[in-house]
Amino acid sequence: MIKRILRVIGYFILFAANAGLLWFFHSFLNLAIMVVMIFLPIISIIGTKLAADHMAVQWNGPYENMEKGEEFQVQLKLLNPVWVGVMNCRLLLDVSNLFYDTGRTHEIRIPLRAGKGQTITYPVTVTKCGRMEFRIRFVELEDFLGITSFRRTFPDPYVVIVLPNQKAEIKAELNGYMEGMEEVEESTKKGSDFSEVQDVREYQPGDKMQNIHWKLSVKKDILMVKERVSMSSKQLFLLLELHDNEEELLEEVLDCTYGIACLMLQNQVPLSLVWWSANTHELVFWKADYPEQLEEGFRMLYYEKIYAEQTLGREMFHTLRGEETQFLWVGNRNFGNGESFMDYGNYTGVFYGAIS
Amino acid sequence: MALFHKKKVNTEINLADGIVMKEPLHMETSSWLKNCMVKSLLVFSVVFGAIGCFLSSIDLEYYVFPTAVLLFAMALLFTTIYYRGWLMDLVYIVFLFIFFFLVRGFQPYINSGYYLIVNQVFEIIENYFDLPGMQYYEIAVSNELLAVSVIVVFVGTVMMIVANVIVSRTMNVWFLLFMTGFLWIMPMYFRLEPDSFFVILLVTGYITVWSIHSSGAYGMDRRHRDYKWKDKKGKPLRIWYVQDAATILQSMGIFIISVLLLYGITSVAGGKDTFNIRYRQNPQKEESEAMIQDISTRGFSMFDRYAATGGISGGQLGGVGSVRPDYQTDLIVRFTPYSMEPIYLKGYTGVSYASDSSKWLNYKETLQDSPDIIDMLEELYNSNNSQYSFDYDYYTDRNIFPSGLSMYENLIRQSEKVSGDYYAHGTMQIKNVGASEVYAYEPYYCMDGLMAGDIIVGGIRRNQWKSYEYEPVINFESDEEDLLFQWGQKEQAEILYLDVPEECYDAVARASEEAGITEQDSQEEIIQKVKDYFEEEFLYTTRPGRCPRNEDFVTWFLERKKGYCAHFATAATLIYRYNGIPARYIEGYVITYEDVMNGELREEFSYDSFYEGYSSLGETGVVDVEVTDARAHAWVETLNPSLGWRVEEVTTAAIDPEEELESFWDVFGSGGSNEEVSDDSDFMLDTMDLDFDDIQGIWIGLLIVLAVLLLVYGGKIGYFRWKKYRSWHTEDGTENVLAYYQLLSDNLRKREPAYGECPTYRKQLQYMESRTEDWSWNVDQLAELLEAACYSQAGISELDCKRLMLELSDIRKKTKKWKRSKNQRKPNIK
Repeated sequence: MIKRILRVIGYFILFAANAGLLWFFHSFLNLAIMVVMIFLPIISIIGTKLAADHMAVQWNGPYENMEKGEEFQVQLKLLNPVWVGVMNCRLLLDVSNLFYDTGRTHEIRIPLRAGKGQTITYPVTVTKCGRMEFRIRFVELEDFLGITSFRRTFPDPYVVIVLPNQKAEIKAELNGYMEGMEEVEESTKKGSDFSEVQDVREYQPGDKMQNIHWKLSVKKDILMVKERVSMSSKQLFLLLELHDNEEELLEEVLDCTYGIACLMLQNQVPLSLVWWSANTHELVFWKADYPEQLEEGFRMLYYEKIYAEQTLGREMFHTLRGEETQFLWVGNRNFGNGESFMDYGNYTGVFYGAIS
Repeated sequence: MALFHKKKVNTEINLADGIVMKEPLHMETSSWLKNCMVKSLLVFSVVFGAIGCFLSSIDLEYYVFPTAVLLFAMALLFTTIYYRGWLMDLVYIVFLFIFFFLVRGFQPYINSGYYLIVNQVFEIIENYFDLPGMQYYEIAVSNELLAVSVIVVFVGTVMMIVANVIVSRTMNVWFLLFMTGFLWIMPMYFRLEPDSFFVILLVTGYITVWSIHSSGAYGMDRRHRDYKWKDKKGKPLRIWYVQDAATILQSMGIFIISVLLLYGITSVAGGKDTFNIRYRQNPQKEESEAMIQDISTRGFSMFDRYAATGGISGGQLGGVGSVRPDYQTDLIVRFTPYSMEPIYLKGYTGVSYASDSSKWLNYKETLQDSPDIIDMLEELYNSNNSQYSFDYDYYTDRNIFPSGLSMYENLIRQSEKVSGDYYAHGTMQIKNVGASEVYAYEPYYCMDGLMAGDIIVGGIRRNQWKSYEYEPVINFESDEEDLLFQWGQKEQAEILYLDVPEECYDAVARASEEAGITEQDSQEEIIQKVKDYFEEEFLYTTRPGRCPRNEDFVTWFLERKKGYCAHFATAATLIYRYNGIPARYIEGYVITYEDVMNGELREEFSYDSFYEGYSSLGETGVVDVEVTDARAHAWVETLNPSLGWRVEEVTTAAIDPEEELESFWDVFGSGGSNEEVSDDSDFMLDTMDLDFDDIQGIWIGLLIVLAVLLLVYGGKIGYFRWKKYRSWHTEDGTENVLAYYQLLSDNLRKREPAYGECPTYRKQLQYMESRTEDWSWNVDQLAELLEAACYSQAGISELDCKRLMLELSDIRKKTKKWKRSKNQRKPNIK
């Protein structure tokens, strides 16, 4: 604003200097310059107003879920269909991680070409999970002479979901977990298969050999696989603590939970994600039989509020579901029962079983 | 000095917590080359617009299109090199060399172009202020369009360099206005208007600069990124584009159309002619004009209106504030040296002094100005000399001048000395290189003077030779006093050469008195007393200031007691006349013995063909002496009853202490080529044939540039070293340790890239241990201390700080001894 005032003062000084020269020299050149100096701001302001009224904004980017550490591009298109270009278009953008409730405002100054506009591409690498939002607070178009500006707002944001990295290495004793389950009994009866076939579909890369429906495949001359659903009425409850502190444990909890969940789903172990919602003050159970459901669960998770207590979720689970219900708790190692089921990172431990 | 400064820039930008831009942000902006072109267009429009406004205002013609193309090429060069720091430094140094040589090579054109512009401005000033007797520079080259174009290109190039720096660094319209404003404002003072094309070019340039500066997108990025950013803690991250040629061009287009339309509408509606009809002189401007006129007549003039080419002012005395020779060759004199005495070449003869116009009138002008003199001469001729009748038409219709030697003097010499021991006869050939074509530059005691009576007819045309036969008087004495007067010369001399105007009569009388001249003094005594008087009481200066308009030149000089040769010769002539000695004012060239010694010996010419008879130097040879305009001179001739007209040197040798000893061009060589200038293609070859002894000034200049560069470089190194030193000399011991270790690490990282790959203190120290032969420190201990200093909030104890500093200092000394090896293997650090 101060700069703008200074520019106006500077313009007046130039105008006065030219008027002084005109008065002193009585030169036609000064007269012409004076006419130009009177009308040029008007042309400049009208032109910029025209551009401001007709401009539009468009976000482009990967709308599917992204993985942490993955690089992607977010594109912001500012369309200027009129014949007047703008030398200084100022945008105030908020980029935030809504899950962590952190964000930062940044200002971009760009040119807006006449009839075309401008495209800004952010080559982004996300180092944290969550719901990332790119939002334009306002767009300000300054006239050529920099003496005034016109502001527009565009409320629609661009949001991208960032999931934990699937490649997180989990060192887990799955057999131990299996042994503790009732399904083990089923598996002895059905030859270690404790699930029933729900559907038959075409083979997709990554399907297990053991799920191939050989008879049907021979008949149809194409590989068919059986989709199985757990027969057990008991699901694996994967409870994660949505707590965070300065050491950023939550990122590792998310990574760890996602890693375990993926591992379980790969091994045909159905599970339910469980977390304590600080928004609704209840336990949220999200059944995830497929990876897509797991991703959707995380998407829902990112709408939750983070709390400070290290074991709030576990305690609420015990309170609401009784201590007999079995679950896999993912939280701070220091607050576990000492029996490490698996390790992930330097800080987080995973503990199994009902805490008695 | 970007050559000496390379800084690593972190390109990672944190948009928010957990959202990082590791690669540069991409915007659709133009390439750096297009930006350069647009920027050069901007620089060009401002500089060429301003120059064009000036030249079109003063109505001076030149090759507009080629000049514009050359200047645009220059603008493009300088804007392009600005994008590479090292290239910029290199090109500027190379360009400096080339520029010096081009200036030397094109100097005749540059000088002539400059003189053409100055002459044009002088003419405008003369007409506007109605100044009398302005002098104009003579132009050495025939192609005036080319000369103006050359000076425009050279001056424009310098302006382009400055404008480019302004546009690239600050994009500040005020600086540009300051630099170029005078070019289009100055002609307005004289009510001159520039061409519309240049006005539109200039105004568009100014507006575009203003507009780009307002947008903030003018910063240059030498890595050709599309944008810049500022990320300060507590403030929003700011990202702004660097430049976009397309948007600038679009804006320029709008500006051009707007300016064109508005200018056109103003022209149609107001109209130049209609506007000028309504012109009324501003009272303040009138006052300023009066003031300028006053200043210009009081010697503070900014106009050195000395005719540098030719050096002879044709008797003009007033209106000149200072003289400044350009040291260009005016004449080439081929002759045989016979004496160490100066040789005078006579050009202009002033017969009567006109006080009102501060001018010496020649014979023709005197007769035209004074009908009484014609009557007196007619009477004289009719009564005393029946052989000659006075023919007014003969004397006035031709370009005639009284010669230095009358026929009677030659008769004396012939009768007395033809067969004597001191008789000599010589041939002198004179070529006019850059002198005025009006004058003959005749040596004294010339046979041609005898043939034409007392008159020399015609001058020497440029680039032509003229030959004179002369009989130098080396040791001539005569007691024959009556010979001269029996032909009526005494009366003629009294009519023509004894007049002292009323305006300066009192001052001359006073000076005569101050010189101690009495009635009893003989002619020789009076002449000597005047010389002594000038020598003791007066000072020589080339910058005496200009005589005020309403004041008599001689009176003014005799009061101020300082001036140059024309002042002394004028005053002395009048003092001699006041004391009854016929005297006249002479302008011409003087050749000193030093000039002769510096001349070129022409062995192909035989001594005998150029000289016979007595010579005080013995048998010498034929030499070509180059006479520059610095040898232009004014002196006095007095009429000696027995010897005729004699040269009297009256200019004092006492130099004013305030006199400027050397001008800028004196330092950078003694001027342009001595060869004749032609417009053909051989010109460059001729003029580029430089004598390196003459251009020692260039070397001095380059040494100065080099010294400045070294000083800047040294200063920069010193500054950064001081900053580094300060970084580990704070009050916080822990900070000092970390800063010192950082410096050590930075140094090692530069030397060995493998060191840079060690991520922790421990691994870095292990690397050092593996590379140092006599390592005697405990790596674990050092690493723990450093980690504590870095990560612990409490830091480390003062004692530990001191110990750590000492140890790090020792380690640093050891690491300096690391040997470099091409096949050095990377140490195995676990």
